[in-house]
Amino acid sequence: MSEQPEQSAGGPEDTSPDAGTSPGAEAPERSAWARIGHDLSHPGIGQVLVAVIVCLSSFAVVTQVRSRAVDDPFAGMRRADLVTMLDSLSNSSRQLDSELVELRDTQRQLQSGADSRQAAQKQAAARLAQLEVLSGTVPVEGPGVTIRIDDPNSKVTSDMLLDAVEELRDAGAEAISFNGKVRVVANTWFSAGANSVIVSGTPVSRPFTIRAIGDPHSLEEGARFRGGLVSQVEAAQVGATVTIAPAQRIRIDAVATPAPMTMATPVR
Amino acid sequence: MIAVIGLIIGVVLGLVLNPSMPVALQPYLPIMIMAALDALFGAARAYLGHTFSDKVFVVSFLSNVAIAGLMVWMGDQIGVGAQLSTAVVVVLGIRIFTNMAAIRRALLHV
Repeated sequence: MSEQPEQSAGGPEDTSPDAGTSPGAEAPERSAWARIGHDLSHPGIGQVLVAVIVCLSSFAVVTQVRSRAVDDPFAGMRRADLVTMLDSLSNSSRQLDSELVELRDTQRQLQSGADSRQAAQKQAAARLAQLEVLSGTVPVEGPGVTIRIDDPNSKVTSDMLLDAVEELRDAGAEAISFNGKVRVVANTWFSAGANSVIVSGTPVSRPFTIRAIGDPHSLEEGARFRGGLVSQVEAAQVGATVTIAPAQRIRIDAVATPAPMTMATPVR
Repeated sequence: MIAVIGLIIGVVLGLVLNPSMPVALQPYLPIMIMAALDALFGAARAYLGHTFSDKVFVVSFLSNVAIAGLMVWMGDQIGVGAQLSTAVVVVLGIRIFTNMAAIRRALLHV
């Protein structure tokens, strides 16, 4: 800072008239260090006083430093500042409270929205599964029967197969396939072909294997009732044999490709 | 040498006793420390200038500390405590710098 000459007022001792004077005010340069060394090795009563005061000062400094390290930063603040700070803190606390209420509200809204969306999604998934099975676009498996029709005389006609499908449906069949090649769906059609039966445009050759998924017992009964599939096919003029094998697990891999609806549109 | 021992004893005492400062004294102790430092540097400067006196040192130390504390206390009473403690710190800081400059010149001749 300001470079003042030594004799300018500055130290508390400078102004004292009774300070010990010595001729060495303009002491030789090297004597300062020598004097310090000499005084350090020859302690006097004055140094004890200095030591006591230095001890007090360092004690105070340590106390202050430690109290600052331990205490919270508000301990040294004045009352007005504290009141202002408390005011602003309670203000912001109130703001945050109202914000919290708003956010809780939003959370509740979003949650209920998510719940209803989830319910709708579940419903849609169930409906999708149902429609997929109905329209035959996915492989299905479940309990059912495998009906094998051996027709050595080639007398089984497409009408008989159509009747068989209708009887199986009547007995609760949910999915039907022919020879593992054709899935029977809503728009499946039957016609007679050369040496085979045509189902939805696919020739199905003898012997026929019908797989139907549904309650095995009902399906078997539906096929066996008097005037039904078995009695019709095993009649003397047809001469075919029917083997019905119920199973708890039948897999139908054949799928139908749905044709796009070009004409019919739903009426709302 | 004794002064250095006193310094060490003071630090050790402060660390060991770990005194809890009374709340009423809290705003005044920093100012008192500033005054004590000022007195110590003034003493060192007087010592190097061959004008050191025990009596003056003790009296000036005590009066410096007392006046500094008193000024801040008075400032608190009349409502300008913060400003007055700032003023005291500034004045004592300037004095410490001046004393340090004198000590530096005496010891290092620069």
